Amino acid sequence: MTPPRTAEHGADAAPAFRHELYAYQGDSGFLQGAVSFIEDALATDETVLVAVGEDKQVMLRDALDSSGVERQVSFVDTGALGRNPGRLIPAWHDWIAKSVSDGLPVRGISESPWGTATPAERGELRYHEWLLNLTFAASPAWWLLCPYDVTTVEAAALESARLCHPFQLADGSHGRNPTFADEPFRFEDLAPAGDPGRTLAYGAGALATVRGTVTECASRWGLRGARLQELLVAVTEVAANSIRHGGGSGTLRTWGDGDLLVCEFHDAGHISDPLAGRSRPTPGQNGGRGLWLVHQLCDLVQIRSAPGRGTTVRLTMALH
Amino acid sequence: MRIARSVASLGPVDIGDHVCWVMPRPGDFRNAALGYLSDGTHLGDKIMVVGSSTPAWLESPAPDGLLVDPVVVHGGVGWDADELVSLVRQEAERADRQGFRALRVLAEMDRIWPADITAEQVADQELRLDALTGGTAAMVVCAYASPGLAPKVLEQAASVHPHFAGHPAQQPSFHIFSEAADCWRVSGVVDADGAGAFRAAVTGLLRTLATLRLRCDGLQLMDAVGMQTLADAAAAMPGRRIVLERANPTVRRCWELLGYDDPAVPAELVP
Repeated sequence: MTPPRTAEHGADAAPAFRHELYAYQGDSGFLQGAVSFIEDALATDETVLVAVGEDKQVMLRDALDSSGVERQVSFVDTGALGRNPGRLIPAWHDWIAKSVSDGLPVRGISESPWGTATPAERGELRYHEWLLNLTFAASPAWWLLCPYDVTTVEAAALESARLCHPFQLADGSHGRNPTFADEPFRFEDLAPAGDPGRTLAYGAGALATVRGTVTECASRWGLRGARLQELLVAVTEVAANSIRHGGGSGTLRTWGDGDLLVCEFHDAGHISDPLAGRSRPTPGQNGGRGLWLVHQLCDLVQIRSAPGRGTTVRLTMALH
Repeated sequence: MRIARSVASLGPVDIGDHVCWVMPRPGDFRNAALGYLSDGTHLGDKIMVVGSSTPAWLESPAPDGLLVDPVVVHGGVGWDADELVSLVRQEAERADRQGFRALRVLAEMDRIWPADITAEQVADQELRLDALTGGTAAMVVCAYASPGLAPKVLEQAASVHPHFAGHPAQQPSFHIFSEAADCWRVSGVVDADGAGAFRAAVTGLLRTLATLRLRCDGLQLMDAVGMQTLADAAAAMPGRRIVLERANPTVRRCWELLGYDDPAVPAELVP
């Protein structure tokens, strides 16, 4: 492997986030790239955070020489984050902040669950990968390797990944990715809405009506208890954002889709910050808490917002 | 234990109740007030009307009743509302000494409040009246004329009584009321729609309490604005703190997700 700090960064290079794609084939390909990445880190006394599926964790633990691993390699529990990709960036912020505060240079390995994600989740995972460049542009230097198994990841996801990783590990060498494109993210259209029965128009003073509409739909589809309560907090936040920032009103549609309940809001506002809701709020800050809470409470959050076309926020909760 | 509730009429009002009665039309007042006062006479309550010499008073068979008209007392201007709290306390004690079951009060609030009363003043005064009502053998119905008072004042008034009577559309989303000498109860939903009324109530209570204990058994939901309101209100008064007790798991989870479980925040969630 070619260490990037000698190949790409001079000794005086400014600290930067190095976001690197690793397209591999099968388990042996994964191990080859990931183990060498970790061993390089251990050799230079760097700490490594590994966020991969449980099966890959087992493989890596077996493959790594145990000396130094326990001290310098941490396997983070991505399962605890749930399925929503919108929770990954704040989690990486927390993990990196902790390692940086320990005074050690940091590397990470992150493989998203492409094989088990729904089409909607895959769309948000792709967006998450794009957002990483923006999120960590001004952060302390760290290096994130994103393995993609070309035998299981769909072609569109891989194509999107090639566009948003400035670096790549290919043919055993770390280097620049020639297909990287520093351009705006191209969202896919949301999947067609299910039959909502009716559309609720809401405005000031109607938060209780919004919750009543969602509760009625949730009851029909069997969502209840704490999950319903959390969804009610989330819909309150989104509707309140419409009223406060989205022109004072909005519309709500709800429907069931298999084992999912979906609530879709639309208003005339525009969310200009692509990272809205993806950074942990501090107790003293003004506002900026609603979308954060929504991301933490819902299984999937899809936001499409453009000047002149308004904002659509689609919330999904698994029924069980 | 007092429980927040809405009633369709004044019939079920009982000792310890403090009812916000939002009257949709003046004509509705007469019959409902008559019934409320007559019930008191039959049950052995001392009757006190704070307001005008309405038909309800004139027709009510209450030989030992008391009519106090703030406008007449002060020559045509509204009352300093502290006087209402003092009057109820004094008459409740007197009714007890006189052997009545309880003091039954009907207060016409548009006759009591000055025309320019603010929501914050309503919160302050009604919460003090509520602490008194919850701890004495008294029941108080505060009649608010819907067409006569600002919607913000009506919303505030409804939220700082444990009990509500009136049109369901005017029911408050939350109630905050006295639970015990040093403890208050919040129930219902605190969201962005009711945050202004919630802020006024909490701020009013914090002025008189070093530690505001809020029991949250009946709190169904609190959104980010509601939680920020609590944290900001406590932070704005150095030395004061808020303790939230018995909140449900969703409230607890949101509180932690928003980072308010930080020891530096002067509002704390306890079991």
